[in-house]
Amino acid sequence: MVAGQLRAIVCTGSLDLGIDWGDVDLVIQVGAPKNVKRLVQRIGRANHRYNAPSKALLVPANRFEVVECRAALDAVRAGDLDGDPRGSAPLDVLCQKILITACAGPFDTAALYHEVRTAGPYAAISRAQFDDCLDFCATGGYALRAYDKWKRLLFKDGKWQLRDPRAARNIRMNIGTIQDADLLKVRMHRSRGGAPLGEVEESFAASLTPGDTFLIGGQIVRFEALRELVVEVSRDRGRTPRVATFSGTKFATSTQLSARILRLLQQSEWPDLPRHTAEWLALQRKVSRLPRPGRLLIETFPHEGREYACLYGFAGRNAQQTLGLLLTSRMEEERLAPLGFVAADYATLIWGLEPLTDPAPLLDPTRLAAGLDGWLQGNAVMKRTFRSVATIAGLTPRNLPGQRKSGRQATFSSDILYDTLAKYDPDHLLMRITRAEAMRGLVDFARIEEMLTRIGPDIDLLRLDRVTPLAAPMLLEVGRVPVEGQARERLLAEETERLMSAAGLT
Amino acid sequence: MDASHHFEFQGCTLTARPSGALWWAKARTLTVSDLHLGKAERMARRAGLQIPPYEVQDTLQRLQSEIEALSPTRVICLGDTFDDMEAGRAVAIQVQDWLTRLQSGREWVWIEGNHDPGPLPLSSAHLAELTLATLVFRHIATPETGEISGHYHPKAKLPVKGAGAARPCFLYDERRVILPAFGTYTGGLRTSDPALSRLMGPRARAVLTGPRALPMPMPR
Repeated sequence: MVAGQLRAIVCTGSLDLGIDWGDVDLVIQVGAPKNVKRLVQRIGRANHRYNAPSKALLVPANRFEVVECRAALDAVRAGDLDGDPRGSAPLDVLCQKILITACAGPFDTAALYHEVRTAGPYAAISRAQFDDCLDFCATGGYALRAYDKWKRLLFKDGKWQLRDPRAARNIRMNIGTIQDADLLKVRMHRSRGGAPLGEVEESFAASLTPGDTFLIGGQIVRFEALRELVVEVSRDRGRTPRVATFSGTKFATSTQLSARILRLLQQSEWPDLPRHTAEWLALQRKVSRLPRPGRLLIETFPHEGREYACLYGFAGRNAQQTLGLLLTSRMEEERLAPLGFVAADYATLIWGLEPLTDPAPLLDPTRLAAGLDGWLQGNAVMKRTFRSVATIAGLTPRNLPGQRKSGRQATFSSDILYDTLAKYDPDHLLMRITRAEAMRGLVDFARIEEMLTRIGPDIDLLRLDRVTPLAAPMLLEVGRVPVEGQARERLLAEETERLMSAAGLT
Repeated sequence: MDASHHFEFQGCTLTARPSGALWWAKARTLTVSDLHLGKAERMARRAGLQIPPYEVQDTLQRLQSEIEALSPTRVICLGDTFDDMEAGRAVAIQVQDWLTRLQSGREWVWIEGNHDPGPLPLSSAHLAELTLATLVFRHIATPETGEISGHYHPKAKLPVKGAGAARPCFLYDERRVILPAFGTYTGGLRTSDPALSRLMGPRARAVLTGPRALPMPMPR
């Protein structure tokens, strides 16, 4: 790229910041920018010189994103930038720092504590917090002191050092805090070593069946098998391949941008929007209603044998996700048999076996907040957060040298570790970090509270006989979250019985 | 409502429990497989990792619940009870009293697995395999008929779209039964893996564990 040999480069957010390539003619932003500052930053990658204008092309992926892009461009013109406050000292990163320091040689506790405090985010970290992290690195930090014999760090001659110096390699192989989706290498079938063709995300690999073709490294390959965490392929030509998807990191639309979008929806017509999008909004206004600032719109409708409820909260993906988790657990209590939900930046779509008829008690802020902590424990978002915290803090390293590759039954998921800690050691350091991280990031509870304050008691519940224009894109959203409850067990029992009789096995 | 699944196998009525344990009511025999006790200790020793050290407690607690619910006269641990021999020695001493309490008043059989192939400092019988009536209990499946085994940790995906993770499952056909792993720190092998689909006949069933034991045709 620097040498100017590549004509184009496709990337996730990884090239947003810190890149200084002057030769980029054009930035093509696919999908909505999610926040205004990010959009400006991205556009600025083109013609990265102080005296040349930057050019970009925005490609919204659906009609809602058209609206969002429009609102973001208006904000850029108005100089109305947004941004989130910087996160406070992440302790999982500190654990990694302590382990890496130990790899370089014995260290003095006070000196390292002092060094850590010289970094901005950690300036206010207490000695007790630091010692907690040190204890985690040394002994695992469990209430049950099980690893006295297998400590990672030993205190010797006034300094901390690795018990087993060979561990340095394992620790160094796992340096870093960017949590990518799990990537699997793609290799030619029966090839011995050599560079892999590339990498795909595990979720994409899981969607392949032998015989599928996909495009990687500029060639079409045929999927043969998933073996020892390697995607084995053979050469294939002439068929339309699938394209591997890389989801990257998902950001939530900022509060400021969401408010702008809501305001834009209030216009009586939309001459600035492409016709198909303006018509889509007009149709929504005709068959249902457009969401309004200060009120919460909820639509319910039947679709393919399930009952759906769509809540337009405009609180950003993470908060809408949490709202989905909280509401479905309240619905489970009320025996409304929820089956799952999916969240986007502007709405949460819930489906289940019973219709939602009285949402107000479900949305009572005090009851939502009261149940939050206890409820948080069992849910998928916490497990996802725990997975990344455990990796960063060095509990479950991603890479191990000479990792035993045979027998996938030897490995088990970090969800099991989460469940075990929740049951036996709920105040463990990593559980505390997970809760704090989740509240700030994936849970984003503050934005739900902000939304509930904003709408007060003003809920508009509309019963419709079919999916509405605004709800339709929600049916296509990725990242559906299943609700493990009575409804699922009910369906599972029906489905297994059906399969048994279909196979003549009853 | 009965949450277990009952089935006929080689003239015996067996019960797949939601917990992943196999109950043979007539012989009052409870069988569990692949407890992998000491996995955390082994990971600390071998890889320098310190995963939550509660898996022995959790696994034995669940085993105790099954024993209390069923009052078996015989308990069979079908191999890979310990994650390796060293973990076995360490854990056996650690939880000796607990194991003794569980064992008292009943026959207890340890079958060898590939992870724990030798004798351990435990009371009660330690065998490579055990034959009872028409059934033979061993760790890894062989071509023999009438076999109850473990080893593979079979798991199956739920047959409902978007239902999330797979669950450990039993597998059975006319010739053999394969138990899911009972241990807390165990992963699973999909039933679609050739290692499992080769072993099982075309009419094989999978019984999902969880809140209820759910039988279904084995996913291949």
